[in-house]
Amino acid sequence: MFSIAVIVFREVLEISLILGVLLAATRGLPNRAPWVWLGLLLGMAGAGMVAFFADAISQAAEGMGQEMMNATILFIAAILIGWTIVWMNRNARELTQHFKKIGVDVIKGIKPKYTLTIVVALSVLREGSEVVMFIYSALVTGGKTYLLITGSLLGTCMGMMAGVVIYYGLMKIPIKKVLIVTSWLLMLLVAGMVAQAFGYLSAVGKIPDLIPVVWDTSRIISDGSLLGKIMHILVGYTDRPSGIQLLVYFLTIGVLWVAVKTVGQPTNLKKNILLMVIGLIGLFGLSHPAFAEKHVYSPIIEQGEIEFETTGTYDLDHSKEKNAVQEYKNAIGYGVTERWATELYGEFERQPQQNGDGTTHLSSVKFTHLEWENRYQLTEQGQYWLDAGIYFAYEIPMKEKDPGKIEGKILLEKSTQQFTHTANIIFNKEVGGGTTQETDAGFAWSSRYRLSKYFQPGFEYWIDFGEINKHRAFNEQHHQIGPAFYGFLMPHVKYDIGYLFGMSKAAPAGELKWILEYELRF
Amino acid sequence: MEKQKRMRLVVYLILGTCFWGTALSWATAQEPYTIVIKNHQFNPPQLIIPVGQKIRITVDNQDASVEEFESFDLNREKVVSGNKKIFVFIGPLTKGTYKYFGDFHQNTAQGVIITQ
Repeated sequence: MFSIAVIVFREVLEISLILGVLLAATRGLPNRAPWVWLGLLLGMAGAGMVAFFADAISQAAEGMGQEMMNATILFIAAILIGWTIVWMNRNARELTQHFKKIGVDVIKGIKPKYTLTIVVALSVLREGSEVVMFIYSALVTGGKTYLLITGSLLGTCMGMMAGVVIYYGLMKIPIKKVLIVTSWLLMLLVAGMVAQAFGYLSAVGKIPDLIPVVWDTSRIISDGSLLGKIMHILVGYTDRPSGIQLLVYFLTIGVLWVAVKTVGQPTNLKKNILLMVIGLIGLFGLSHPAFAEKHVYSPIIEQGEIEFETTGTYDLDHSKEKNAVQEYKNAIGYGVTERWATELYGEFERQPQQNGDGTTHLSSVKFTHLEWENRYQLTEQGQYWLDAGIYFAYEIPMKEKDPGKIEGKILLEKSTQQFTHTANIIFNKEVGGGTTQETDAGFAWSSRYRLSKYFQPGFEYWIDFGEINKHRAFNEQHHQIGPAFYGFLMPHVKYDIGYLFGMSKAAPAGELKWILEYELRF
Repeated sequence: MEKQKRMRLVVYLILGTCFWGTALSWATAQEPYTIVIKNHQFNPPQLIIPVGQKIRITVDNQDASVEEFESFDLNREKVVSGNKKIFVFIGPLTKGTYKYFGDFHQNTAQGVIITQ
């Protein structure tokens, strides 16, 4: 009897925890009780039905029916709760602006109430169906009925009691903090749900794992244990997460946080974009220090590839104006077709600034630009003597008064059996108020020896001619040359790292540059 | 002035045609070879092509699922959708054995191109 009680207790506990968090988050919502009860009833009925059709469901969708159903339920619940979080915060903001009051009034904004019903129903459905199926199978395998009933009742009661305890614990939080605490609890709950959904999808091979098992803490806190279940609900813990699960977990938190910050703000487009970018891209940036990104682009596109990129440059020079100047960018890119790839960048900079007394100091790290890049492959790789492509980018400044920039490049590449040579012919022009409206020209060259997939040594040569019209002396142009190394650190992680020596006076004496890319395929 | 401009235009046109004409004829002067993808396997598993020539290979994916023709030896990585054909240009290559694989089904999709 006790073993039955324990199993039932664990499942009921999960339901109670979700309910507890949801109820604490919606406290003060008038007349919510009938909606919650409706959700419970629907969920239980649904659970019964699921158990009844269990066989048919698991056979459906090529034997992946159960996992697909679980994943779908989780996604729907995640979206609904996510939307609720955004709503809660938006109303809080509006109300504090108008009434300078927070608390009970905030929650009144959640409508329609049937959202609550659906979420409760879905959660009960998911967990409940497991309980029902377990009890059913125990009955069928000849378990003693009375033991089964008492065990289930005991488990259910204990589960509900634990849930109630958690609920009152959450209720003790002062009203002022309620919004933040419950928002975070719900965000983590949603992130955990999404990660779990992806776990189901990768179990049936619908999506890649990336890394099969990132860590294994099943000996410390296993998924099946009580603590494990509690942590699963509260923060989305799982004892053997895959790479994709961790990725979507943090991505979900990022998306939710950004949504909360941007929805309902007085519309300042740039600020919204800024926050969106910080939330999404900033997550992937391992923000460590190192401008003009030194990436020699290949014209070859890889269709269907999603890419996360972090790149930077760090300058070394005797002069204070040029030393420690650093720029780094984080980006997400996607190969849309065989011939077109697009990428979105967030740029961060530290630049020298004038002090009052004529000396300079280095500014703090600033988010300076948003950049949208597109690359088009013009020829089939290897068909002609050269592979050709074009590149087009538009840079949006984050500071109102700064100018934007458009950039165009001709991308050329020649690959022989052992070497790859790439050239970029670069044009850019500032746009917007207060700029010189002149076009600058530049050139970049890369050669490398394709020794192995993991290590390809080579060199790069970078030139910035300056304005096309003016003919500048060599020393006023930027000329940099140096060794570079390319390859894969590990499957799916590409690197491009080099050190450029300044050949002309205008260029920094030394520049370290790096590009790290993580590739995904869908 | 008019005449000079016209002369220049004509010269550019001729040069342009020569360039593209050469490029195109170079491109089309290869013999077609075909690799079929079926049941996540490449057929023929060993393809023999002449040494030192640019070759156009047709990769015919007869599976419903997408595959990727990938090879470090040949420096190619190209996606081929289900029930579609793509062209891959390789060469000129020296005498040797060049491995390639299907990135999405690496267990079974392995092949070799041999130049002779």
